This record gives sequence, C-alpha cells and structure tokens, in this order.
Amino acid sequence: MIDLSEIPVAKPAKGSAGKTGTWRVLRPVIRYDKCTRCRLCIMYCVENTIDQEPNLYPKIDYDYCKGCGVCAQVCPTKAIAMVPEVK
Amino acid sequence: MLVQKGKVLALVGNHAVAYAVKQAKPQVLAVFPITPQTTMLEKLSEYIDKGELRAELIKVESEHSAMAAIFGAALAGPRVFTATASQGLLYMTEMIYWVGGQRVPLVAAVATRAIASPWSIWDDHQDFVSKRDAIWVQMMAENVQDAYDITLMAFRISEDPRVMMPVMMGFDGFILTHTMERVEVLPDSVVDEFIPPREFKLIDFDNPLGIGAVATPDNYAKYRKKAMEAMERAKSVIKEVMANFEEITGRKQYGLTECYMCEDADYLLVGMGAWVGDMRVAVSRLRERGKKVGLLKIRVFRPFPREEVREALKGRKGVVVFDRAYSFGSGGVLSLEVKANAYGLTTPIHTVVAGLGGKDVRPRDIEGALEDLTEGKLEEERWLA
Amino acid sequence: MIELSIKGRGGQGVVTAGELLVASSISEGFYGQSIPFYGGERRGAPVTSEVRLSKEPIFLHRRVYNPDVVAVFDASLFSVMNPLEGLKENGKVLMNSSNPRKVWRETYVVDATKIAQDIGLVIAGWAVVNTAMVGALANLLKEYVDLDALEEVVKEEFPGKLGEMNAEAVSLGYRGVKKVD
Repeated sequence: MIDLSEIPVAKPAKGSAGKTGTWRVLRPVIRYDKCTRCRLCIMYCVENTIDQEPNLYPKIDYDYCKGCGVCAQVCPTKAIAMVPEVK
Repeated sequence: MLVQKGKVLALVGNHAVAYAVKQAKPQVLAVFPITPQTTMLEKLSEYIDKGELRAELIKVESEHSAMAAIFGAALAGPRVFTATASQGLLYMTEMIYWVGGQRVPLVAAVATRAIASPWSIWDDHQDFVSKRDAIWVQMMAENVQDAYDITLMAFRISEDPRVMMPVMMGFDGFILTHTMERVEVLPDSVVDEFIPPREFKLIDFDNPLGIGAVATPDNYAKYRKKAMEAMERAKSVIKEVMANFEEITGRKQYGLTECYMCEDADYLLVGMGAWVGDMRVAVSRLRERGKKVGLLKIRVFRPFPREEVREALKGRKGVVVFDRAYSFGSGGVLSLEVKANAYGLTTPIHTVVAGLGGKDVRPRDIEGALEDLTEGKLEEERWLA
Repeated sequence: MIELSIKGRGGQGVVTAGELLVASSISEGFYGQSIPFYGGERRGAPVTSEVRLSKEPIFLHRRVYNPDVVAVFDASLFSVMNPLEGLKENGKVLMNSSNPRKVWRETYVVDATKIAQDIGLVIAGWAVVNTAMVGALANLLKEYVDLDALEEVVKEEFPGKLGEMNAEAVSLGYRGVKKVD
C-alpha cells in the first residue's frame, strides 16, 4: 500500500479547508413567493452551495456561501435579495 | 535463487536499454527523438510494432510534453518510461521537478550530452548533473551491460514503497549509446520476478484525491523534509536491490560506489560514467609501475554516497576528481560533491575537468594527471581543453 | 586485444561492418566493441568506425588511436585524408581496390566493389561493399572471427534474400583477399 502521508496529495472533503461562509458580507435571501424554480441560481453558483429541495425550490448552504451575489444578479424574477450580515 | 544464465547478445547501448525497458513491461511511453537517444525510441517502437511490447507510445511534440504525459499516466497506475538528452532534458526540466516533488515512480534514461551553446551532439555530463536537486534518484552506467542492469534495477528502486521516486539512468552519449558491446540479458521470466507488479496508483474513482494543489508554507516544508528522508532511505533500498540483482545475475554490483585497487592506495582517482573503464586501465598501469593508486567509482549520484566517499577519502595523501561537468564560477560538479564530504579531513582534493563536449580522454591523460598527483605536480584544477 | 579502424564514405556501411565483426566475435564467446564516430554525416563524406576484439573483458571506452588493422573501403579516400594515421608499424592494411598497390609493409587487397556488383548488391547505384570487406577482414582476424559465425550474423542482420546475397559477399570477400607484395 502507498503511504499517502508521504506524498503531496489533497483529500477533497466538505469543509476540509474551513467554512468559506465566514467570508460573507452580504447574505442572499430567496423570496420563495417570487421564485419560479427555474434553477438558474443553482447553475450559476460558483461555489456549488445552492442545492434543490425535494420540492424543487433552491436552498442555500450558508456554511459555504461566500455572498458573491451572482445568484441575485442572474435571477430573472429578482427573487434573491442581498441582505447585509451586519446591521 | 540460483544464478540465472541469460542470453549473450551484441547490442549498442540504446538497444540494450530498450531491451531492458521491454522486459520491464511499461504500459505507457512518451518519447521525443533527440540525438544520441533516438535509436532507443526507434527500437522501442519496433518492439511495439512487432507485438513484443504491449504499450501505448504517445507521440508528443516536445520533451516537456513527454514528461507531462507519462507523469499523468503514472498517476493512474501503469508503469511508464521516457528517454532524452541534453537540450531535451533541459526542456523537460519543469516537469522533471513536478514528477520528483510529486514522488511519482517512473524511469527516464538520459543519454548524456553536452549543452549548447556552442552546439554539440557529443558526450559530457552537464545535462545529467543539472537535475541533481529535482528529487530524483540518479545512477550512472559504466558500460553497456551496466546500462542494461541499471535500467532493470531502476524500475524496482523507483517503485519500492520506501522510495517512491523517479529514477534517472544516465549513460554516456555515443560512448555507450552507439557502441556495441557484449551484453548478457536475463530471461523474461526472471525479470518478471525481479520487478514485482506496480502498486503505485493515485487515480481512483472510489477514493478521489487532489493532485497538484497548492501547499501552504507549513505543508510545503513538510513534504520537502519527507522527500529528504526518502532520499536517505533510498540508499539502503538501492543496496538491497543491487544485492538481490547480484544474487540473480552473478554480476558484481558493489553498491553506491566501487573502490577499485583502493585498499592500500595512497592516491585516489574519483570518477563516474563510461570513462571509469579507461580509469581502471590507467590505475592498473600505474600499479604495474609501483604507484600506490586506486579508483573510486561513483555509481549513484543521487542520493550522493556521502558516507562511502568520506570513508574512501580518509588517510589518502591526495585525491583527484575527474569532472565531465562544470559549475562556472565554482568548480567541477563532482569535485564539489566530493569536497563537501571531506569537511575536516586534510586530504588535498584536486580537479581535472575533461571530456567536455565529447573531447576524447585517453588513459595516458588520466595516467598523466594521476602521476603528477603522486609527484605533487598537479594543479588544484587542471583543464584538458 | 586487437584494434581496428574502418575508413569509408557515408553510405558504404562502415558502422554496420564494425557491428557485424563484433557481433560475430561475441557469438563465439569473445568480447568486442564497435565504436562509430558520428559527426555531420553525409553520403559520400569520409566516416570512421572503430572496433576492439578481445578474449578478455574490455574496459576502455576511448577511441582507437593506434589500430592494428585499417580497412579502407574506398581507395579514393587517400586523396582527401590519411586513412592510415596512427597505424602500428607492424599493422595491416586492407584495401578495397581493383588495382593492388602496396601502401604499408603488410598490405592486403580485395575487390569488394566487383564482388558486390557481380552478386547484384547495388543500391541506388552504390555497390554495397561492406559485407565483402567484412569477409576479407575475417580472413585477417581468424583468431577472433569465425567465417561460419559471421555468415550467421549477416543472415540475422539482413533477413531473406538480402541475407543470402550478403552472406555470399562475405564468403567471396574471405576467399578473395590477397597480400600485395
């Protein structure tokens, strides 16, 4: 067996490099009454932090969402608002 | 195991190495032609064409790509091989360091050749020694048989879980690559047993890994230290593999160095590569004339045999290192290595820089320098140019 | 140990000639070394190949400076160089020539060009003289090279009909060599 501690390899795992959600200044908040479940936000999220609920509505994982705002920008019904974390 | 008598063949160096590679059964090769290595590539593609070697030969557009291709392939598990020389080795440099740092077991043959400018196709060791800091095991052959033997051992050493490191087999361009000599080759079945199936494999869909990721300063330093420790460990592994090879073939392997006529020698000659043969002749002739001289052959350049060299230097009245590569502004490359390990000893160490760009070196040149050494007439650094 | 220097022109098979001699000697259980000198090779340019044959292992890797035997594949080389440079006083010269003349104390001659032409060993207008020359050399080097072994090596090197023709050239070269008085 190869001793993996000997050689420079990275083991990808959720959170192994810390929670990037701590970088967030603006929090995306989905208004489900406006959401048409088009899935654009899911496809555009650069960090893969938006997932689909069983009812097909998008859900944001705030542990890893960096608050970049791409989802809010692409949402065709303007259903995502960017809300300051610090009031 | 009983000594295995193989077939005796007449082979030029490049074909002897190709034969050893064929027997080691690599599955992926990527080689870009360059003198004086090209006839090895031609022989390997001939083996594939005839079905004697079942391997993918990737046609690459440069040496950089050749090393990159087998780097990637090696991570997925197969045994891989490449060969190059001179400018090609320089062009490959970035990937040479990647492979060393990533600790990928693979084997590369280097048909040593001078570096431009001025342009030269002939032999010296400047290309080979320029890769001394790349985390590669580097071994140097003395003759065609040695090139065959080292190539086989290189696969085994490289893939040993205690080493996990690329191995470079250096052999003098033209002087060995194109010279036909008597070679005893092992039966295929013996080679199969000598080189166990390769275990190294990083690409695994069930257990994904990231390769080539950035390392933080803490992690980087940690991996470099591990590489240093592995390089030290490689010394005993190389000796173990050589001892096993000697048992199988009956051919004396000596180890990291070989001391020839050393026991009672007052003066010592140090060298590596094909001209060690000529040095043997020079030392024998001087012995016939009553001069107490000996020869220390460096067979493994990385890891450098520090302990053996230091031990061999002790108590000598004088030492001369023959260098076929030079670090401009400092000194002969092999001389510097030898001197670094003579710290605290009083033995004077001289340098003879010779054989650059294929300039032929005759036993009488070697004898002359050695004789001058015994008579206290040798300069600290002499150039045969 | 015996040292040879083979002088010819690019395209005459000088390197192959050296390798055939070495392979044949090794197949007899001896040791050998064929050392080609590569430079800017062009068809017709003077080229050299050197050979060592020995009953003991050979350690030297330097070039051959004082050959015991010089084989000259093309007599016209004498007008552009001295093919006999460094030849030992008691050494031998073998020339490919139809016009025997003494160039050294011990000079041998064989008409390798005619042998090749008679057999039909002509490629691109050039007579393939190397195998006839190797045959003639074998006659001068009986201690190290056996004619039957050499013919076998030639047939291995050149498969099929070409092998037969070259083996015949070897045989005719062996028998056709004459000492020049």
